[in-house]
Amino acid sequence: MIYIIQTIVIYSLTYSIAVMGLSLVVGYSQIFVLSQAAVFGVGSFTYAVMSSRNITSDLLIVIPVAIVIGGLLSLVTGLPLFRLGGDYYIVASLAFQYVIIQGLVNWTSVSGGPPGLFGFSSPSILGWNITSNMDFIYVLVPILVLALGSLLWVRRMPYGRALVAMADDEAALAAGGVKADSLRVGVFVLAGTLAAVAGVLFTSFLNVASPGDYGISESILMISMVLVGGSRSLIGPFIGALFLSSLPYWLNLVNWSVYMTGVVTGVLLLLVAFFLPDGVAGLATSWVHRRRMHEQSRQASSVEPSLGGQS
Amino acid sequence: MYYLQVLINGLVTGSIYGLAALGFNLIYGTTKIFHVAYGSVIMVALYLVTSISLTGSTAYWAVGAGLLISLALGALVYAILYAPLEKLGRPRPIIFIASLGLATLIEAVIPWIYSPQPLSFYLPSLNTVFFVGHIAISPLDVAAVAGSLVLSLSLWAIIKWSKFGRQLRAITSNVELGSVMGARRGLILGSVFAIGTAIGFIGLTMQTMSSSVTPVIDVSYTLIAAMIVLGGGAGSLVGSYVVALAWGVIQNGATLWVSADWASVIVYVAFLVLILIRPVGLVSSISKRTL
Amino acid sequence: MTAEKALVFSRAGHVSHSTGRDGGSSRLVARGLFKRFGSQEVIAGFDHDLEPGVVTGLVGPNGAGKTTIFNLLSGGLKPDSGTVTFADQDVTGRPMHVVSRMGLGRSFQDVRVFPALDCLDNCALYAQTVRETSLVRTLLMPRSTARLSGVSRQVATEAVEFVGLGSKKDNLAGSLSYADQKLLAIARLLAIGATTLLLDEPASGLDRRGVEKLMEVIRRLRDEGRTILLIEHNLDVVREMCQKVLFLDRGRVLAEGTPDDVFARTELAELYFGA
Ligand SMILES: Nc1ncnc2c1ncn2[C@@H]1O[C@H](COP(=O)(O)OP(=O)(O)O)[C@@H](O)[C@H]1O
Ligand SMILES: [Mg+2]
Repeated sequence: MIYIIQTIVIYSLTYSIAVMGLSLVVGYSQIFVLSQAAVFGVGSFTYAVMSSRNITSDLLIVIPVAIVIGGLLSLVTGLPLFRLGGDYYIVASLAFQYVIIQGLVNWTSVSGGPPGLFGFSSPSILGWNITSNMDFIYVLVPILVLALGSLLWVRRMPYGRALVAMADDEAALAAGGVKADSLRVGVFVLAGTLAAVAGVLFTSFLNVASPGDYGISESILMISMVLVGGSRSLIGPFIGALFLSSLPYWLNLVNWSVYMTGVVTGVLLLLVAFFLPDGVAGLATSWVHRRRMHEQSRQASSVEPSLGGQS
Repeated sequence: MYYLQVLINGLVTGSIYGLAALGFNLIYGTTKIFHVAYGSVIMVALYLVTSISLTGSTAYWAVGAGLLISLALGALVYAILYAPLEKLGRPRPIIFIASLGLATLIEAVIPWIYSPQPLSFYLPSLNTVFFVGHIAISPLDVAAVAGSLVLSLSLWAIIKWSKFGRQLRAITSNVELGSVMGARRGLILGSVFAIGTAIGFIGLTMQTMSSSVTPVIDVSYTLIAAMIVLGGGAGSLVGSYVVALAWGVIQNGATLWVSADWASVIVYVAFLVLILIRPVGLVSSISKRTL
Repeated sequence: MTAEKALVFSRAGHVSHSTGRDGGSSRLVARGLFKRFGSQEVIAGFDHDLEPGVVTGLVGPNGAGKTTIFNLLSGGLKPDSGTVTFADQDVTGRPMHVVSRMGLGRSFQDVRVFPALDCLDNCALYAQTVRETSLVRTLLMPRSTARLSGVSRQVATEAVEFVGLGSKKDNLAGSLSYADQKLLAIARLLAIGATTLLLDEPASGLDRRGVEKLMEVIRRLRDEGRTILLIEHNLDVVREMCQKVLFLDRGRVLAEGTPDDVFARTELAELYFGA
């Protein structure tokens, strides 16, 4: 039992890292990205290849390498955002997803073909071998905190302010001297980089990397985590990742069909569209926001007359 | 001769893709709803009728029934999913989420109920080739090419000349304001979904007759349809027809001269290059948005 | 206001040329602008040298093409022919974010403040530099970004106070009254360090007190030596604020002169009020 809980925790933390940045992309630029699993997969294979070829299994080396590869890959797949938006980018991202993973499958000398790579050495950090589940959690938590900290920092800084503005009105943003496209590509690359890091962690934990695990349905699952949890808040992806990544385990416990995962995900998305456009986390934030608006407009209306008298 | 055969095979494949795209184009071009569950809904109709019969003359009855079912399912999806969401005033991204949800749901339910094994109509007479010179052609090939051509032309004529077509264009040119209002509008959009789904069903059925399908076919079916429509220029029947044929030819050529593994990668990359060079698609029918 | 203030608004490195008072180098010049939408010729030959340090009015009936002229001047919208020069540079059809960084600020007829940001952030957003808007810098040079951000908040504070919204600087823009939103929209332009301001119907929808406040702000901007092009339907405002008026109808300037001269011409009044 404790083992299962640890595994669930590891899964949810890993997926949280993978979709955290994606929530900024979806939430502020309203771009649906259906290629997140491909970057996640490329991160996975970065570890798998480096480890299985005995280059290194040290996460302090593999993770930076994955950041560079994932970042560059996201830059390539994100640059079309300068020209394409909306539905066009949904389709483009699906095409990228397909091309990247199919390319990986076909590149057998590196990826091992459809079965992928497996049975390589477990990860380490400066000679410390990471083997037990608890070890993994010790590694995951600081990385997660660092990633979350960076995102919170970005949101607090001028860049984040521009993101909030972009979600409302791109023309007014441009009138203030900020180009929306650059902002979009920026968060997109950030999101991809985090997914690649998560991919490294995922594979170093599972000890297998198979291209089939990073297909379109995995990308849909990842964006569902963001949408169900709520894309406008940073806590949203955690809720989504915790629930959806552990779902197969819960279903397994009660002996339900594996297909139930898809059914539940589908139904949740439908519920979100009909009742919770801002996801589960949106429930709380919209309440706080409404309160703040309400308070302020009350203040404003009571202050107005005296100010008017002055001028 | 050999090249001609590759070209013909490519045109056949392209014609089937053309049907996939035609249905999607009708829906997307009219409603601007990115119906990502398009292939999934069609797949439901297909699996419902393939459980009736896969071979012999009853198979043709099954296809007929499937056509009716896909009409009904298309209208149903509009009536219980998109129309209520529009009424709730949900913006397009949220409507996309609903569509994604429906696709995910269907993708789990169909392989759950039916087995995830490949499935195919077994109709030997349709696949028996005859030779024109040295070119091998099957009756199904003829049906695919003729079917997509006839359906595209009739749809084009209907949109251009009929009263239904006029109202449809009125809705298209102004989706938000909707110069055709109320129940009439719902009826037209409902039919658009019904007809679009049925056209897509014909394409998928032909694919099932010439090769086989599995319950994950819906994703690639929708994706190919969407790529062709956007690549050809959303709302442009001519553009998407040309792109579909080119798609089939490139894919067949690449399968033969490069490898089957890389063929679809090559076509997908070609699509990405196309929309990066011409973001509005081959034949632009939408004016660029300004301030 | 003092020259000091004008200097703060246009922080170092933000506006590359001199500020308002002499205004010589940041002249806005339009030459032979034509623009059609479909078959409709919306702007049919617009020529104008915006006089520096002066408030110029742009009046005319609805649909005359006034807002379109703003769109052509402020970037983003490409004319079919003709050129726009600002600060001796050709800016014809350049993206709006580039033109605004050169010191040309434009407001929107429908206000368009960012409802989810507070007043200060609305202005700080317009004040922020390219460097502090870089994601790489934000992540890799946090301290320098924070410092730069502090400077733009300082600029923003002064802009907010200039229009008299100092006491509401922490309120969400969405919760402000319409009149205050319109003032905030002007404050944002000051935060860019704009030496030339294009104001699209700033007084429309305001009650008398709102109009008074607005005129006070415009008057002070004029006294600072900023160049203003003002679209306005309220002729009292035009009369009091503008030294010069352009009368636009169906994309053509029909008259140009002092407000009294232009408004005295009866055929224009008929165009404006009649039908
Ligand atoms: N983006 C556009 N596309 C098509 N027509 C436009 C566009 N912008 C403005 N117009 C048309 O140009 C004319 C002038 O509009 P506008 O400049 O907004 O007038 P004004 O601001 O003087 O009231 C109007 O007839 C309007 O319909
Ligand atoms: Mg106007």
